[in-house]
Amino acid sequence: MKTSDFGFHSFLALGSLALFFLVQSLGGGYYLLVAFYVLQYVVLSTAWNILGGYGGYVNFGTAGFFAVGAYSTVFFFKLFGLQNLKQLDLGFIEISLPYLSFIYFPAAVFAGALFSGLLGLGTGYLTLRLRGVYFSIATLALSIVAMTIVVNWSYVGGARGAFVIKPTVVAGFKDANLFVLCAMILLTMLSLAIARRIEQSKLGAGLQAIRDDEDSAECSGVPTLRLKLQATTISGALMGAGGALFPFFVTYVDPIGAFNLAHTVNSIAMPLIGGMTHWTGPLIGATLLGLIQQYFGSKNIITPEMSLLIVGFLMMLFVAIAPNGLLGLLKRKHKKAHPISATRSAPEKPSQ
Amino acid sequence: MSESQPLLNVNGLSKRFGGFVVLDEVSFVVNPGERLGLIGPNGSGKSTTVNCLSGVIAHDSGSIRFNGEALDGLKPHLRVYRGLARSFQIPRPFSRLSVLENIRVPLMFAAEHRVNRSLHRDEINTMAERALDQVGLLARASDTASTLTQIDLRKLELARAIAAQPKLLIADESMAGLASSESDEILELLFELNRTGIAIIMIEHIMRTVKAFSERLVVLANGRKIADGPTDAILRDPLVERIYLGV
Amino acid sequence: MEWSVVGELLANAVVTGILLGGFYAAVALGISIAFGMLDIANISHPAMIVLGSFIAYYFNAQWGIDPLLLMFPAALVFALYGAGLYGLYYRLFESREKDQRRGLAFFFGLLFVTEVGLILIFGVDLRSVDTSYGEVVLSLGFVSIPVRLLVPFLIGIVMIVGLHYFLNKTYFGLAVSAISQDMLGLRLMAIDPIKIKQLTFGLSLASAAFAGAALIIIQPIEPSIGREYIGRVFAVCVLGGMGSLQGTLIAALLLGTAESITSTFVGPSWAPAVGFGLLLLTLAFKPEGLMTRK
Repeated sequence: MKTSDFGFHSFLALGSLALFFLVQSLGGGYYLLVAFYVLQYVVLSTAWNILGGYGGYVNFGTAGFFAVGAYSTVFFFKLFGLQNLKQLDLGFIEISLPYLSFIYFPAAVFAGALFSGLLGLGTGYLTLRLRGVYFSIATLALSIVAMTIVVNWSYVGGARGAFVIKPTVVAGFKDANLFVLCAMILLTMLSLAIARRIEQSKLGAGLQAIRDDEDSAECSGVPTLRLKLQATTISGALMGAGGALFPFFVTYVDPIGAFNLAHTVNSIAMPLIGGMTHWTGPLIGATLLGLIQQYFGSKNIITPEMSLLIVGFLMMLFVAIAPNGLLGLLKRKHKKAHPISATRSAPEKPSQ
Repeated sequence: MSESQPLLNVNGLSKRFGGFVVLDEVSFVVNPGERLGLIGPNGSGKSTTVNCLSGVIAHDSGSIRFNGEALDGLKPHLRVYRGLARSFQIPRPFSRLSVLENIRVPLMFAAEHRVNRSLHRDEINTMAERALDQVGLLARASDTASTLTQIDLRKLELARAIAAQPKLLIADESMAGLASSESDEILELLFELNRTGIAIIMIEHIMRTVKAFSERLVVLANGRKIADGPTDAILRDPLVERIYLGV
Repeated sequence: MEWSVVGELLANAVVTGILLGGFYAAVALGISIAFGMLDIANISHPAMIVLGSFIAYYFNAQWGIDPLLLMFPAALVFALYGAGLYGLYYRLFESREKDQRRGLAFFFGLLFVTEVGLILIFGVDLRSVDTSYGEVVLSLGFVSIPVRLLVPFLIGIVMIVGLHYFLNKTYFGLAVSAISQDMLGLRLMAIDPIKIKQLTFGLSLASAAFAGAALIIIQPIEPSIGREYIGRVFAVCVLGGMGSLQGTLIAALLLGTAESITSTFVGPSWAPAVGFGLLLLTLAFKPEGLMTRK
């Protein structure tokens, strides 16, 4: 399933515009929340899939990477006293309030990506030389440890949590919330573009080989550790970037919310359900599962815990029965319908 | 067989797993373009030797020099870059990828180290296709690796090993489990590869094959080298006979 | 600070640490068995321990049964569950491909489902048990030994010793030890490896019942407390070596002591991070012992 560059970029551009105007015309509010929620998970799932789906290394610490990004925003928010900032004097240019967001949103995303990326690199360096299982377990323990550190760190609010102020006025946007959504849309587009780029690159090809047989890959010349570290860093950085926007949306950040296990479970279940070999998989899985969760949540049919329980069961089900997700099921149906052509084509060609 | 520096110089290679000594001061050389047979009963340390040579496990003491450079401590993929390749006893293809991709993907990383310049995508493609052609798998280039027969898998294994134009290939039981006509095919293939200048260490149990292929033999038993010399002489050595029959 | 005061604090911290370590050994034992002998990364194990704790709580709150009594029938039930779970795991994963990753995701799902299930049934409040010995504190000079720490320590020691005896002296135990080394040999002896593996996994889960009883004696519990133990268990198993009973015990004692000292001199809220910190240091400076590839 190879998409042309033009097709891909058009898809992103049109999709984003459509989404944005849809939310705006629906009056924002609840629909904005749903859009933000789904997009956040598109980012997290796509990020997770870079290492998990392409490379086969399961990361159980999404919540940790996400929270590090969120708390980096909180930290810098407090450090620069952003709640009181009315304008920024950079010497050659003076930036007034309505334009401040254009500076510190990208800065926040960058900072979140940086810290989580470093965390990914560090975790990877320490554990990727061992068997894959150790990496997974380390990421699981990592979240807890990160949470312990945050809880003990009063500057960012500790267990009580911290407040981050949403921008009050942003140039060009009637509603500042729409600006936050817009930022998330841009990040989502970036994530999908990065994932697709990786798929088509040497890194993606190498990860596929690693996923199929790592020792064999290493012995035939694939620099496995280097590639795994690249994937872990990029994956972590994207998760951190997603986390960095979180405080601006919820305005109140506490350890329970930031380190919510739902982030971890969803970021695994969504690619699993959607399909792990292609960038569309996490997109499909996140959209589907995210919308379903929001729908049932809004009707109060099920509590958030029940919803998580169901996701957990779904995850186990798919892992056991349909590990290639919905995309895989579709492909299997295609193979059944066209048995001869099926053996003659490779499932996924990294690049031509 | 030249008088100059050997291609591979293994000196005093030793390895223990826990309290168990698997390799005990094993030393031998391989000359450029040579065909060496590495034989010995089960458990004699052949696999461990291969794994130490390719870098999958770290030897405890001794040295491995390849092309004048020390390989000790280098990761397997770095050894491939320097021209040392191995194939696996049980073929380990990238099963979800196509036959061509199985060759191309490692080549994307290894090729430029072998030709000492960066390569364009098309050049890598050509190199990969050439490797497939050498083993006779070009026709199946776009088939998924998991659909291959046993013998084709072994050919793929060899193709992948020689695609990056190594100077030395360690062929680890490339014929295990094949019918004798298929074995002969692989044997002929190995001869052809050797004719292109690749030195080959063959690890094999089938005596007929080893005898036909090897110029020289190194015999291991209980982790030690017990014989090293021209094939015919070694096979007549009573000590070697005893090792094989007396086990 | 006076040295005698520091000395007293230190002595108490060490003693507490050793007692805690015995408990950690009980917690880590199940993973050591499953991962060390069967190569199954059952990360849902901490959640099973918490489940065991909640079961102990329930029977204690409803009928006043002491956890020390309950843990025996509970262990049996858990063992049966473990045997069944292994059967499922085998059919789904092991027999198909040597891909540990799917099994890992499966067990993570189980971990998660167990935890959320407990939240739904019991809520997020802390629960504890009422026992006759819970408040008792023994004194050895200036060192105090709370019985609520001593009992779990003893449970841990008994478990390790018992398992050691089982593995080395009994017929089934020897088969279990052998399973990780020579499947063919077992088959030739007409022992079904699958049955042995089921037994082994059942043992692993049974240990969770005992560890669960120990846990609720030591501290009040709530559903997500298992997560604190993931790092600890990981640290113990990696430092001690998978499948090695002595290693598990020593590593557990080390961890307990390190945590206790940190708790006393730095602060108790840092305790969960100590194990992980130890682990990071090991990984950073001496990973060779862990570098064996399969």
